[in-house]
Amino acid sequence: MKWERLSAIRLIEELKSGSITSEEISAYFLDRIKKVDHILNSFITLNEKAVKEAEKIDKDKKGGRLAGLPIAIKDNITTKGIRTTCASRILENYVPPYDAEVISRIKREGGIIIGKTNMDEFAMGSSGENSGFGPTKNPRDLNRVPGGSSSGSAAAVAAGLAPLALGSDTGGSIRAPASFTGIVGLKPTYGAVSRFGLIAYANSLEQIGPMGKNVLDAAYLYSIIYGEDEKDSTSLPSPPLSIERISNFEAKGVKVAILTDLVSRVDEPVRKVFERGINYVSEIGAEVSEVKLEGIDLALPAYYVIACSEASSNLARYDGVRFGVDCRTNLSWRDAYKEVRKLFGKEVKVRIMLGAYALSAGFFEEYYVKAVKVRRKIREGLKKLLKRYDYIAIPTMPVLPWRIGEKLDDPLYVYLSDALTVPANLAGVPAISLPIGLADGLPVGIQFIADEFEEEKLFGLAKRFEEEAGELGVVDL
Amino acid sequence: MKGELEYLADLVLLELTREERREVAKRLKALKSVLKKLENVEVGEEPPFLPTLRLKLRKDEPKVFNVEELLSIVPKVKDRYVKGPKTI
Repeated sequence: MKWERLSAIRLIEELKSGSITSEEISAYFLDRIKKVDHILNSFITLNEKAVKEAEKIDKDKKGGRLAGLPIAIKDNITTKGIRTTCASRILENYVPPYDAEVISRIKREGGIIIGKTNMDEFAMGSSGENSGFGPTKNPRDLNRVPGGSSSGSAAAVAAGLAPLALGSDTGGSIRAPASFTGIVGLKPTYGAVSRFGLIAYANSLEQIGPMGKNVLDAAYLYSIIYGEDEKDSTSLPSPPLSIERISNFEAKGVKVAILTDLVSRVDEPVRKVFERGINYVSEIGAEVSEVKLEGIDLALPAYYVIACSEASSNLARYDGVRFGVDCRTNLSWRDAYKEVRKLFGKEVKVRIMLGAYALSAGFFEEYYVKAVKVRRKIREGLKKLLKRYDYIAIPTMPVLPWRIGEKLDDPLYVYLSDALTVPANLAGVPAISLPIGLADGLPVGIQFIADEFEEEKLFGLAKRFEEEAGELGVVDL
Repeated sequence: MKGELEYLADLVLLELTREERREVAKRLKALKSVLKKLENVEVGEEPPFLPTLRLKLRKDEPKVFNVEELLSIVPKVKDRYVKGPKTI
């Protein structure tokens, strides 16, 4: 049986019925990763104890809602006893003494952590090429990038190396790789999922979210991880989520706004497929309107100022004293600090420096203060729009996945590719990406945005859309 | 750019190799060109946006420790480094 072809929900049914055990399924996926992942490089660390843990779940018969299903975790989410590197050489040997809240929730429901997935170092990147452990390849075309920063999680799901995965999204890091690899990824409302145990890049923007082969799989994992957590002071209570209501969602009459200012900027092959996607939206009964949003072109600069400023502050903690490499040398404090920080990759160094620049005297008003004000304008604009319309629809990425290494000399191209995903992070609203179809043999994703805490509504429309557009399925490697 | 790059690197305690300096300069230039759009924006007296942050009190009672008590919970000192809980 090719278990990787089944949806996560179907696998859970099989596990609950007893037709397969958690031990068998965990061993199956571990074996598959060992056979296939040398091609993709989607995992940094495997949990060799996964089979033993699965055995215990089978023995105790305490399956929970995940019933012993293996799940891949982005390597910036702490896992007790399993190395968590953030894809950085500076944290190469860091083994956290605690689980992130999302991991505790997954374990409580019988989920098995199968391994930690590759990513752009400290989640800084849109391609998956900025990892200290080498780039991840896109399973749909091995010469191309899978998108980032949750590159390994997306590639692992698309290649059937894990039925489900967790990613994190600061400016599109779940949705971009979901779009490039043809899977489903959700960036939840800011505060809907606990960030306790998520290694910080830009605290005011990032959220942990689910990635799956289809909408219901992603919704199912979301239903396990969401909810208020007293350990995260920015977490908030969410309304209950029902998989049954999502499955029976009726899209007739819902109002969908297309943000034309953003759609006009995407590459031709993406635009053509997106237009097909809009036809699907109409065919499922939604009313589609074209709208403009003033100031949306400022989202990208505002995002980079805020994200880099928060990063420069967050990453100051990597001094070799508390985390990762040991800096006990005969050097002065200043030189020892510099010695340790040599281990950061280039992109991380750039963003720390840009953040320090934006926060420095003389530039603070010019950049940081303006950026947080622009952020408010964008949030208010989107919220106002979402009062008139149920959803906003735009392509997830303005371009098709590029060849690995092709854009190393054109960093601006890569930064601009975040233009369509950052508005949702700035506004704190939820957004989902799912595949529409292919352009030149490569996946193109559509992004639906809804108002805060309307994840159920978002999954509902996405589910109906998926029934019309179809799934891309797993890649046979 | 060279002087500015060195100033910034030193500010954030980063040491760049010659090859890195070239690459970082290129990426920094690209990022700064993205930021340029903000320079001509008039935002007025708009208050800045920060996500909701609610103060949540821990359920347990805060405890006041004296020095002896504090030292007693630190398990050991090894090679000048105190090995013990980081926060109390």
